[in-house]
Amino acid sequence: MNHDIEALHAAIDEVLAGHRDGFRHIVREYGLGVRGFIASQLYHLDDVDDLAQDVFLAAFEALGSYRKGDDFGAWIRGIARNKVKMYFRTRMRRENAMERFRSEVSEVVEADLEKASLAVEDEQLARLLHCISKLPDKMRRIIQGGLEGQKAQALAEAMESSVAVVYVTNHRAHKLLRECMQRKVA
Amino acid sequence: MEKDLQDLVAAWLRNAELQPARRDELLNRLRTDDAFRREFVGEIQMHGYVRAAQSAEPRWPLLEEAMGGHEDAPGMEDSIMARLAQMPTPRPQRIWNPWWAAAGFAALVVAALVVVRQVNDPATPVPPAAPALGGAPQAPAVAVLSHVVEAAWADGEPERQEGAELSAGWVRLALGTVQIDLFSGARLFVEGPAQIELRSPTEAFLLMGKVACELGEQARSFRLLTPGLSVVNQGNSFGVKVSELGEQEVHALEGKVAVSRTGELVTSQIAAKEARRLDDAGLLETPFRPEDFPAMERVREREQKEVSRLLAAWRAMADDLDRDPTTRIHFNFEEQSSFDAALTNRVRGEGVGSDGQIIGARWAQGRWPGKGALEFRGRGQRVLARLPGKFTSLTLLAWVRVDALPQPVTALMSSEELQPPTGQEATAARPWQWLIKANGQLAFNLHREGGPAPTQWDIHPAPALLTPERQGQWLCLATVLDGEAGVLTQFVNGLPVARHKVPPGRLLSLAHLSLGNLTPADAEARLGASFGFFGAMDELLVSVRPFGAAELRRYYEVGRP
Repeated sequence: MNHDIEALHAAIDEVLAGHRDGFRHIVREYGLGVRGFIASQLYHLDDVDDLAQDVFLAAFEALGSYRKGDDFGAWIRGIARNKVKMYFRTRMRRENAMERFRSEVSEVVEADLEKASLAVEDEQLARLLHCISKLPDKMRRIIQGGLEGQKAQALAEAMESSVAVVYVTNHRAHKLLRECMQRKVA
Repeated sequence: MEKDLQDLVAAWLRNAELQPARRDELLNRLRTDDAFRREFVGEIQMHGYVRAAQSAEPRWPLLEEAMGGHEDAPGMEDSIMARLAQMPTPRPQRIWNPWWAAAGFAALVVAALVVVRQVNDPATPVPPAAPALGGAPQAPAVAVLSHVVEAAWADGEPERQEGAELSAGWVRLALGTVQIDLFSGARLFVEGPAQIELRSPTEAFLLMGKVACELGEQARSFRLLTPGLSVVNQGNSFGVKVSELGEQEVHALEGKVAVSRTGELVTSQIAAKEARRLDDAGLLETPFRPEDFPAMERVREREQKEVSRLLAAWRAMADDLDRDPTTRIHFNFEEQSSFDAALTNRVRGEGVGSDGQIIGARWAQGRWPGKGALEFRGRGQRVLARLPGKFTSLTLLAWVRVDALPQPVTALMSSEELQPPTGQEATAARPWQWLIKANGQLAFNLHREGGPAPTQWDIHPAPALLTPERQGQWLCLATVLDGEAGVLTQFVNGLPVARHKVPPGRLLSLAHLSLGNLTPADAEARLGASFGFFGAMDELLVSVRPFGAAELRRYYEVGRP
């Protein structure tokens, strides 16, 4: 992530000096990255936002322990990772086998997901919406529709296509988005 | 899109239920097929970003109208700020570290001693970003963190590593299990979420969580306090749990345990394989459930699994490095016998077959059980290697465990080139040295044009970070020389810690390499100078391209034990 480090440090100093409004800068700068990181692992968007808020509150409390020079994105993702683990752990006790399966998948991919998150530049994320707008119509419809719940089936019916085609199209759209985000930065 | 990926994505997004056999099949593939796992991660990552970017109400008009840039949802920001208003202002952590003072004093002493090699003007370093290598003990240690299994530390806690010394103070664990060995001989297995305060080698206070305590025959007595109880171990093992609601139980796992309520002198005995819970009326019987507590066997079993996972992830990354055509040396210290006198270079391109010759160094365990390393004990021990060619850029990366820095300068690696006659300097490859100074500075020395060896060196030091509290821990050290840009950067644990400008286009040679030692010049030898490394190394990479910061950060993240 290529955030403005000086501005970040100034915001941290401001918060630690008692001017908590400086924390708005941190929420704005890292909000999308944190929510995206959590949303890649959690299904309910309400849960994503609740957890993201908890992450920022925990980051506020622990801000004094952040050491300048560290990657702040990695630091706050560390907090997010803990929150996601706790989320899965509490749900595993009461949920079914599929929830346990998702929790196991989450553990297996944890290191790769962090690696992938480190590789995404801030500017790339900022251009995501622009890149979505450049997708071909069909792809944009699928990306905008999302695939959760029954949406894949509903989308397939609306587009007079099959669910498999919807997934494949979504997969291709992701590739195009990644390329677009990288191209713009370069 | 292949079927497995589609099924997994569908299941992940809750569009499909999977039969147990199919779940196992997909999990197994995720664990064993790196490319498949990366593809899946790419898919869910992009999915997460797309959902997050589009989820807030104001996002759609932005998307439809502006199609560029973004602002985060004001709802979330305002909501966070409203909740912050009820919280106390965070305070910076002020840690007085006695090692800093010691290191500063050592630096003064060492500065006077290191003149043999470093009398020349050092290149002016660009002020480095302060690295964050924390974890230093703040007070005398009372325990050692012996094992860390699938653990996540609570927010704001330092990222403690296995083997770290623990001072008196709080240990807050969000998840997983850790084994804490107190210097009294008491052994605590703590399962997160837990908050425990180590007060001395013979006493701890459990505010919340589960702890199993074992006391061996050699151990002194140990007392575990909770908000309502005092539990004394009389030579066997017990378990204590304190829930978030304050419910407290004591289980005598082996042998009897003495318990008293806080503030009371009367002590009760709990017989072996019995349990009590704290109630307003006193200590009441409760079912004995040893399975509720972390046990050594279960901790070891989980640890084994975690080690296997980490080792597999590192091996996959190491394999990628072997295939990189710019890699000239990659010693991964794997699949070698403890009698091997040669160190296998794993590269698949140029450099293949140029193995190292081990002189004196001994085989040992590396970052994980099952991972090999070479241990150096100073003096003559070293590994020799040779590689053809001259290069302008270079990346050196090593995972090392520094055990001691007993002399002014310790050699990690160096090229030992014979100097060509004067007049041929412009085309000659220059010798270089990768060193650690006694005050903990990582340094890269580059021989000056036209200067007689060994005194004419341009010295490129990093701040003194490899201080005594880092000794005994595995560290990822890297130095990157970008010959085209004329920049040399030092990294410790994936973070850039120093940057220097260097004249671009200088040719470097790898023809005669010495790992873990350096042959002293005649004058140095007469003074009894020694440069031998005291520690272990379990991975070494030499590439002829400058690695990027993000790349090195990734190697550190995947390779850290």
